[in-house]
Amino acid sequence: MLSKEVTVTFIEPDGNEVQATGEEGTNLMELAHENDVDLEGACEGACACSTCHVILDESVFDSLPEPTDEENDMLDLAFGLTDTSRLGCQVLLTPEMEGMRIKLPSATRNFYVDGAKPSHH
Amino acid sequence: MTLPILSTVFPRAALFRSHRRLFTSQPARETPQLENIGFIRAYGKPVATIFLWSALTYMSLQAMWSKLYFDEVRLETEAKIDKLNEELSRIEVAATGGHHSRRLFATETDPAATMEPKPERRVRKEFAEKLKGGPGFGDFVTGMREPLTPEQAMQQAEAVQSKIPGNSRLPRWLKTDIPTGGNVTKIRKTLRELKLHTVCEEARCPNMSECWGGGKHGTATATIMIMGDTCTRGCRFCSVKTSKTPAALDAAEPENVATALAAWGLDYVVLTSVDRDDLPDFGSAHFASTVRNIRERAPQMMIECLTPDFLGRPELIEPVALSGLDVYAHNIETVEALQRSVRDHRANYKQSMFVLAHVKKTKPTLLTKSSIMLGVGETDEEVLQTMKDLRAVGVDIVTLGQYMRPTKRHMKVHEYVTPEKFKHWEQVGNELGFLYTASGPLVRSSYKAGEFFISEILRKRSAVAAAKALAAEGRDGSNLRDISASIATEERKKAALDSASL
Repeated sequence: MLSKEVTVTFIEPDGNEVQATGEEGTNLMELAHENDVDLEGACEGACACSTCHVILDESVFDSLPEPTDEENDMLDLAFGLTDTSRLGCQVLLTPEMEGMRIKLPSATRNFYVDGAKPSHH
Repeated sequence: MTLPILSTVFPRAALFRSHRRLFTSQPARETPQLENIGFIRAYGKPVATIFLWSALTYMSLQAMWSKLYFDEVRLETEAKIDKLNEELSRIEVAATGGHHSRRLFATETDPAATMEPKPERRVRKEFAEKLKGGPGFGDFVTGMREPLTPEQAMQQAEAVQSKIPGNSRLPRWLKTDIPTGGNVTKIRKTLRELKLHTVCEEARCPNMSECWGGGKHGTATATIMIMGDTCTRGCRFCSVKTSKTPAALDAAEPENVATALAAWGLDYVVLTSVDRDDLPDFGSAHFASTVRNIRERAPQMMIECLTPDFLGRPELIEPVALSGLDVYAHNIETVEALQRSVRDHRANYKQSMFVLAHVKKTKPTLLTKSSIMLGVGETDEEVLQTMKDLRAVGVDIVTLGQYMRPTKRHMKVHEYVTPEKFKHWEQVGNELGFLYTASGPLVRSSYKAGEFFISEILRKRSAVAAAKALAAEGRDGSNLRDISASIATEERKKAALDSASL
C-alpha cells in the first residue's frame, strides 16, 4: 500500500553525516530539505540554477539515467564540479539507491566565505 | 368526448352526428331486437378484465407490504446484534484492564499495557473490515516504532537545536510584525480584486505591514509586479517562483494595471517585474506599454520602475527609459566578486552597471536608483567600491539593506550587519554625492520609496524655496511631480553654475 522507502546518507561539507529516509520518487533536493540538510534550491527544482549540486558514488552515478542537456548546462556552472556530480533536483530516489552516500560540495561559489581562492580546472 | 367539443365549434355537425335521422330522408328503421346470447357470453369479457386487474393490484400491494415488514424485522434483528456485541466488548475491555488499542506516546508511560497485542474485534460491517486491513496509526507516524524514553526525546530536541549556529538567530533589530491589520487586509483584497501581484507578497518582504500600512505622510506604497509571478531566473536570495517556461504574458495587463492603479489613487507607485528571458524582447515592450498606460490614466502619479537587465541590450532598455517614468531603478544586488555566487548566472556586474549608465545616457533628466544587499559575505572595501562605481555611472539614489533568508532553500545569511554600520554607509553615500541614500537593515529598493523620496527632497531643499520656485514659474505646485520637477531643475541649474564657476 505504501511505496518503498529508501534510506540514504548525506555527507555535509563539515563531515557531518545525516541519514535520510524518503519515499521512492522524491528528488534528492527535496529529501535534503525535509531532513534539514544544508542544500540550497534557489530555483526550487526548475533546473535553472546549480545550487542543489551533489556528488554521488561512481557506481550509483553510472546506474542513473543520463542527465538532460539542460541539466548539463546548469551543472557546468556549479562550483567544485566532479565527474560524478548531478543536480539534486533531477535525481529521483529508487530502491536501488538504498544506502547511497551523497556528498555535498565542499564550497559554493562564495569565495570570501570560506577564504578559498578558485583553482583552475 | 368529440360530441361536446364538436357542438361548440360545429353545432350543425354535432347535431348531425347524434341525430342523423333528422338529416336523412330515410325512414326510421326498426330498433333491432337484441338476440339472447347467454349470460356468460355477455358478461364474460368485462368480468374477466376486472378480475385480472384487481388480481394484479392485490399482488403488487402484497409485495410492497411484505418488503416493508421484512425490512423492519431485519433492522430490529441487527439492533439486537449490535447491543449484544457492545455488551461483549465491554466485558472484554473490563478483562484487559482498560487498554484495548495500542497507543503510541513520545515517551513511555506504561510499558506493560502498550506492549499487549490488539484484541480481536467482532467485524460487523464491510467498511470496518476494510479499515482493519489498511494502514494503522503507526504507518502514518514514521520513526516511532518504539516510544522514546524521556532522555532520548531530550537528546533529539537538543540535536535539532544545536544545528542552528549562534550567529544565525535573527537579531532583535530585524524582528518585524506579521503583516495583519485593517490596511493590510484592505490592500490585499484590493489587489486580488484588481488581479494584481505584488513583489511584497511573492518575495515575502518583512516590511509589508509598514509599507502597506502607510507611513507618517499616510502614503501607502505597494510594489506591483507585472509579467506574472514566475521568473525565469533563479537567484540565490530570491523566493519568487522560478520556471523555464512561465505563463504567457497577458496582453491586457498594461491596460488593466493602469486602470487599477488609477482607480486606487496612490501618489507613488513602484512597478517591478520578473525576468522573462523566455520572451524575444525580454518583456521590454510590455513593461514600457504598462508605464505609458499608467501615465495616460494617472498623469499626477509618480512612477518608479525596478526593471530587469534585459540582458544589457540597449534597444530593450531604451523603450522603458523613455516610457514616461520618474525613477528608473535597477539593482546591482551585491559587490562584483560575489555576483556569480549570489545572482543568477545570466546576471553580472558590468551588465547591470551598463543598464544604469545607458538609462542616464538615454534620458539624462531621469533619476536612476540602485540597491545593494549586505550580509552575503562582502567586505567593506568592496561595498565602497561598488558605491563609487554606481556614482560613476550617474546613479542618483542608492539603498542598502540586510539580506534576510526568505526560506530554507535559499542562501544562508553570512552576517547580520548592525544598524550602526548601516548608518555609516548612509554617511558614505551622502559624502559620495548621491541625491539620497536609504540605508538600514530593513531598507529595500522600494521601501517607503514615495515617502523617502519626497521627505528627502523636501528636506534638502526647503519647502519654501520649492514653493517660491513654483510660484515664479506660475504653477499650482500642489502635486508631488511638480515639486520634485522644480527641485530637480533647481539642482541642475545649481550644478551647472557650480561646474561653470570651477
